Amino acid sequence: MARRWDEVATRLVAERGGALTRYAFLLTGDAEDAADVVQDALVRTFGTPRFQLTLPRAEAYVRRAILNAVIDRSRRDGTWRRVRHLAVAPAVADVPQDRSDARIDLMRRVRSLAPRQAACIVLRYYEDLTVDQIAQTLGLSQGAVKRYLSDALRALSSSIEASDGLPAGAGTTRTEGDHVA
Amino acid sequence: MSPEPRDLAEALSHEADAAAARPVDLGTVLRASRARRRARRRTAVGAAASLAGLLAVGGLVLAVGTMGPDLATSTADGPAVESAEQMQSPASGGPAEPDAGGADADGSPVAPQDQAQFGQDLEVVAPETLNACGAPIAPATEGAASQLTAVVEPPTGTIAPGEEGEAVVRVSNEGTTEVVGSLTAPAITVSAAGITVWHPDLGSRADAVPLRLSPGESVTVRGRYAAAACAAGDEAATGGSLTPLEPGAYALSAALAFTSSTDAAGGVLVSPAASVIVE
Repeated sequence: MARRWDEVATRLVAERGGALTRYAFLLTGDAEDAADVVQDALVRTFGTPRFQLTLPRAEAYVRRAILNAVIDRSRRDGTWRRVRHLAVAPAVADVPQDRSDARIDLMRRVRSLAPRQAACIVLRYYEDLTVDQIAQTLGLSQGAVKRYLSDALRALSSSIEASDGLPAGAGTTRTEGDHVA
Repeated sequence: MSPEPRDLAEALSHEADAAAARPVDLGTVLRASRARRRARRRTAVGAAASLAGLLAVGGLVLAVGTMGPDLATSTADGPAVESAEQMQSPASGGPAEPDAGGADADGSPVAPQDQAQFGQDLEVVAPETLNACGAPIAPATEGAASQLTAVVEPPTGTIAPGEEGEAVVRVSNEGTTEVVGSLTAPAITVSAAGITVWHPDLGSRADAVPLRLSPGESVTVRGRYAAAACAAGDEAATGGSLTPLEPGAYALSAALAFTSSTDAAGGVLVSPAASVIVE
């Protein structure tokens, strides 16, 4: 049964606020950005009247809104990347010197994925959701989720092999996907 | 070399645990969400009003064009008289009446709490127009929508079919701050299985009285009702033409319009239903 939207919002923030913030942080890599993105996503979700709004549905809406915000930011960053060479000198290749810190390296590579690929990776390997659950959460088809996961793992693999000096496949670039419905 | 799922999970978990993001500010979220909903509602109401105006003008022009110059005056007078009747009829399907079907101006379904009675940004509807004969009764105002609550005290006795009765309504301040404003007389609705079978025609008698309630305080107000049955076609009928209610169990609910004197915000308080026996 649908409940009052502000009750759902209050419960969602109380029970899932931390999880949503961590999800946003894993996608943005910045704690302040993550908090802003979650705040905006909540307002976008609850600022629009929705029929039969339940807690799980609200959480799915917020996660989609977070991903859309990350995609928007990625597009803005992409625009900046295209003109950056006009303003600044090229950056030195960012390869971690400390090979022992593999986790940081892996996270850097995850964040270099396209936003939807990164979101699928986070939901699959951090939230431990099934492909079906990821599809429902992000409003995608199961086939699309499988493709994003497969592409993401292949991109991560190529990136690691390239940095190890092994023959690399297609390089990883942060692409700009369409918004999630 | 593809990363192991375990490595990915560990890296993500470690990263997430290390994050020290600031917590979500619930108050800001709720305030901003309300503001967005209010703006959206204003836009929808404005668009509907513009569309209605365009349709009215278009219809008038079409009618004048069809009937010719000799009939133009009488054609134009028809709808004008009809509109005036609708405005005088307390529970007619006029524009001030909230849509019982729960649809927004753009046709998308909205939750009951998004309807006009809960809005603070729209003109407060007259409480007696909230429920129309034969239509579902308005849902009770939920606590989070207002710090005022209204409760109908269950009648102690029974009421005979066709007779009039008096209902006592207790209005309480359940909030933590003082409430100052004005309150209209309660419009008592009689319903059966959630459908309005009688509602009053308060008209000018619904004059507002001053209200000042500290947290926890309450005040009782009284409203009259009749054990009579009305249908959608009776909205334009005058008193005395309704048939007595069949004996049985019915429900009484009260609607009162409150306007705050501090911020001019307002809304209609709707009480939960209390049972009444007609026999």
